[in-house]
Amino acid sequence: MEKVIEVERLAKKFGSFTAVDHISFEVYRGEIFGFLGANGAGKTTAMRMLCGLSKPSFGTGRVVGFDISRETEKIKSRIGYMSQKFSLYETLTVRENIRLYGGIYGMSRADIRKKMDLVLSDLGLSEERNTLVRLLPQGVKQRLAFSVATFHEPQIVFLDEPTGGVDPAVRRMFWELIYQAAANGITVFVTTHYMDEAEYCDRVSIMVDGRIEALDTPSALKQRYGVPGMQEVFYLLARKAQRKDG
Amino acid sequence: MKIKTFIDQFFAFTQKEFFHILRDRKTLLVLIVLPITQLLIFGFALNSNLTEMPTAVLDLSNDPLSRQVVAELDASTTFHVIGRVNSMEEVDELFKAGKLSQAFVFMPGFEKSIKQTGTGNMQVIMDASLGINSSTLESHILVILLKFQQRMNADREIPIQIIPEVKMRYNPELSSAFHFVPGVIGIVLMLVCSMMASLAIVKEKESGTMEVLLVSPIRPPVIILAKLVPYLIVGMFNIVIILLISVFILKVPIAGNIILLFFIGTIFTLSSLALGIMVSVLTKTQRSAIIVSIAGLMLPAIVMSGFIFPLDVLSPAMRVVVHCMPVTLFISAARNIMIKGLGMVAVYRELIWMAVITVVLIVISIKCFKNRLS
Repeated sequence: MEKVIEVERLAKKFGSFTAVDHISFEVYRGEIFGFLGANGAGKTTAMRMLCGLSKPSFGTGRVVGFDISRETEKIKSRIGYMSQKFSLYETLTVRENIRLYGGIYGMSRADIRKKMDLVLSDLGLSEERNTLVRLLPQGVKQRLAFSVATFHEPQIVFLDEPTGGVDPAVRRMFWELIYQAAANGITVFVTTHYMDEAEYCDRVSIMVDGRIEALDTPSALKQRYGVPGMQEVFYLLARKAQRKDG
Repeated sequence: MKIKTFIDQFFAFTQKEFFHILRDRKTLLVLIVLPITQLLIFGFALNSNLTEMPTAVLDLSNDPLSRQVVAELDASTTFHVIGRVNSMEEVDELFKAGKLSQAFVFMPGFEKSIKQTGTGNMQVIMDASLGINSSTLESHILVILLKFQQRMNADREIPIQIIPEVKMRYNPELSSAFHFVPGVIGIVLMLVCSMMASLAIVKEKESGTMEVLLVSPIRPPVIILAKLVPYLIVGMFNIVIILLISVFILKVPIAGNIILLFFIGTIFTLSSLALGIMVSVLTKTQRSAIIVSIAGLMLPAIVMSGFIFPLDVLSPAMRVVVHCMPVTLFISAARNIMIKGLGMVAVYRELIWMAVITVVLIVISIKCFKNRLS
């Protein structure tokens, strides 16, 4: 299988604090890869290095075939990103947000228009195209943010706790979008707190104190630890943590 | 191909910034209304002391009636006759020395004219740099003369009328009101532009959208230039309004070329925006951006730009420093054009310096723009 992310002994130090402690892993094309860990385990820092937002202190990594230390500009145009903070402009309409991101990723006006009709009808937002994003319900905003993050058809989309603060029913709808993207060949790299979401992933890694303690399919992990759910797997691993939250 | 991408990104981003400004009513209000009110408040406030205005009298008629009129005007609290002169040249000299606010001139045969025709003319020569005050003073004169006429007409069959003819005259020493207006324009433009721009980038850092921009292929120069354009257009609109207010409400005549003044104003606006953008790039929160732009930009601009205190009071080293502030350069250039009526030759140095400073500020902003999160 083709690797879209390869990381070897990747580390990030802030002074004497090692946020990410020499991790190595691979992600394959079309996979939904869950990146789990408690607060402060280092998953956001690791993800930021993969996106070119943060320079590694040690180790190497390649994302979509480019070096994460030296070729960040090439990586940036080939990935999508949605952060835990809300990433759309509240005072722009649905259409204007899509138009902006399409433009930033160098899409032509005609392509943007064509793709927009498709995406909006998928989301059931065709009627709301001229509504300010601020006025949309939280769940709808998040699904729209995901569609915007994948609008330019990136090879990988990075999701940093995308479903924070929404109820399970809305999360379920969000995950339908993720499956759809994966079915279209977009690799999904997602961090989450919710263990029900971990069950939806093809493979998950669990970070504890900056290191990857486990990496496998959810069913293999449950079998290995002899527990019925990911919640218990996570609990068994995370209680070893020395670091405090935050 | 790459250039085309940059242009596409630039237009998409500029459009977004326009939407932000147009939809954010409060910001728009600040951008448009604040400079107008400030200009009016400063413009009027700095023009209000109208008692015992120094006055010279050139009485070529020197008859009882003309002396009576002068005594009447002198008796009011508004005017104070500092001396009688014998020629127009002396009036000129006093004006040049900055000692006069106006002069009253009576041509020979004032009383005779009144006796024969019932009307007599007196000339009032005013320092044009009084600005809006000139019309206030004129109405004071009319009221005083009217009262005088009523008294005189009480025991007369034919009513008499004294007609003041007001003539404006420039004060080459620039010692009063007009002097402030270019300064106020500079300060007000800078206040609005640098303050607004100082929030432009830091706002996105706070809202979280900056993170998404950093992960995207858009480059810092495109973001910064795209943010400058809409504010520049608002700034140019402000210059037009400010100049209209100056001319029609504050009654400051623009002696020089108005196109040149507008052009210099535009370059100045751009430099203020660049200053604000730099603050925005270097700060982390909107609050610190506001504090830096008030304490770090506005205070020095108000105190040391020559707006309030003349630059001569500064030490030579400090004078060099303040000449690196665009607002100092603008105020000096604007005074040269608006009041002295000078042209390009007199202001090209300021213009070039402002342009250089602007480019340097923009380059610093781009260089300091963190393309990564720390």
